[in-house]
Amino acid sequence: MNRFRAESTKFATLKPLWILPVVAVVLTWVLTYVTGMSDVKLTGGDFEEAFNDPSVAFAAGEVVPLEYMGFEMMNFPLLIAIALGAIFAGSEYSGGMVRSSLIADPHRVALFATKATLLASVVAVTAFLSMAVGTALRHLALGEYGLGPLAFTPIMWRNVLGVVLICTMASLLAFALGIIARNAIVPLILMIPLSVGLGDFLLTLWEPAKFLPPAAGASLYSVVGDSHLDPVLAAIVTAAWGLGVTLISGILFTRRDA
Amino acid sequence: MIAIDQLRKTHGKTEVLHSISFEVRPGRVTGFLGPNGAGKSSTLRILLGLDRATSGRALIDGQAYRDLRYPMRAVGAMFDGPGASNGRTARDHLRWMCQSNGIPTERIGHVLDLVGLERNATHKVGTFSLGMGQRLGIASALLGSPKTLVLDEPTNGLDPDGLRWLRAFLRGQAAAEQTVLVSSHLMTEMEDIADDLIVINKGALVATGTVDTVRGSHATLEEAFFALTDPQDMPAGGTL
Repeated sequence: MNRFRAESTKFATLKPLWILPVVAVVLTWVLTYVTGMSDVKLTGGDFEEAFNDPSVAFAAGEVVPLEYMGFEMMNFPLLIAIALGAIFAGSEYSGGMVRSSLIADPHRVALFATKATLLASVVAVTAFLSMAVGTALRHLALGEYGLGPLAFTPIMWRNVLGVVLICTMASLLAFALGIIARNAIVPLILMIPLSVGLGDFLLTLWEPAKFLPPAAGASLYSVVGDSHLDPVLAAIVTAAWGLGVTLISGILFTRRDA
Repeated sequence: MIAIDQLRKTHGKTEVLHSISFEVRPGRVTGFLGPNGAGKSSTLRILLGLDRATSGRALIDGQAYRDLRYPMRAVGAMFDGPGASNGRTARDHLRWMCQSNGIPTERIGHVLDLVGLERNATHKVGTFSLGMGQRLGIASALLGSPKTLVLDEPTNGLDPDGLRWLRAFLRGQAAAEQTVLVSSHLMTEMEDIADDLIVINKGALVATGTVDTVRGSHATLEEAFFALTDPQDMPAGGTL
């Protein structure tokens, strides 16, 4: 309990760490609502017809079934989850902070587990609030053309939880890479490009790229073709990346000299 | 009491500590001296659980630092400056440290007052001067009212007022039967503060004993130090 309180205080007293989740939530809400209104204005609410009309350019980028609308904005919480994980790890290796952390709490396994749990909790809540409320706002913006904002279908819940899983695991992966590299830069350099298009680009060149995060989880929140993993395998591979690399970095954290 | 027993540390093929042993007794201020790269930091890092020893033991009152449930209540440690994030305020830095060891947060105001940082409690650590950072490091070491103090180069960056305060404070701790180990490269300071000295060079102990014993027939401790750590530069006629 003492340990969790101390790590929570560290999290809450470093500005980027508490500002980023707030930005993720607010930005996702605003953008999902605004793009919903824009899409209605563009199509007059007839998404089916727009789907067959290549001259219509949707604000959200592409036409998707109603149950998947809003989830194209998951990149905002995802990028911020990666940044959070990287900064949370990197902050320990700035100004000799890790020495203070280990002098205050030399029980490294428990300390590392607490840090990872705290980060995963913050990111999971942030991703859930971003996408669950964001999706409701999208359907609110679509009005009579959308679904009931509060009447989520099973697919919509699956999509929300899929985004929560992807963001949480991506954040843990960034955190783990930051602990391994002892800075925030390496995870950002490795993970941000994969999250903003490089992953999809690699997929067109190299089939095994479908196992790379975060593209591995694409079927958990979007309509994808055969080039991606099916949802069950996508969830397993996404979790394996996050938990596996976190385990490796945890072993390194507990064994190497500070 | 601090007990270092046959402590050995290697980095790859380089041996940085050659099975050193010494004790630091309560009621005394013990200075830990040595030139850069002598092995002072390696010894303190192992003592504080930051690094692992290749072999040997470093114990505080019979326990390894890593085995202490609430280490800050038993050992006040400052290693290589304040060890705080630049973006956090001094008070917030001390708050998480208190919470981690179940120390009442009322202690924060007390230790900041003690080291003269009470007016800087809400200032970000990144705005602190070197001396203020040192004071914050000392404040964090004092949070848990520990019986043992391990301070790495605490005099770095302190102004004359701070040095005078530190000297009096450490003497007061020793008078209260606390165990005090202070590493430094400032001979004059150590001569004034310490009762006992441990001198290390190239990973091996070269002298231990009271200040008078280590000074030997040399006019100053500094002269004795150079004779011990770099005998080729020893002034003519110097002996130990």
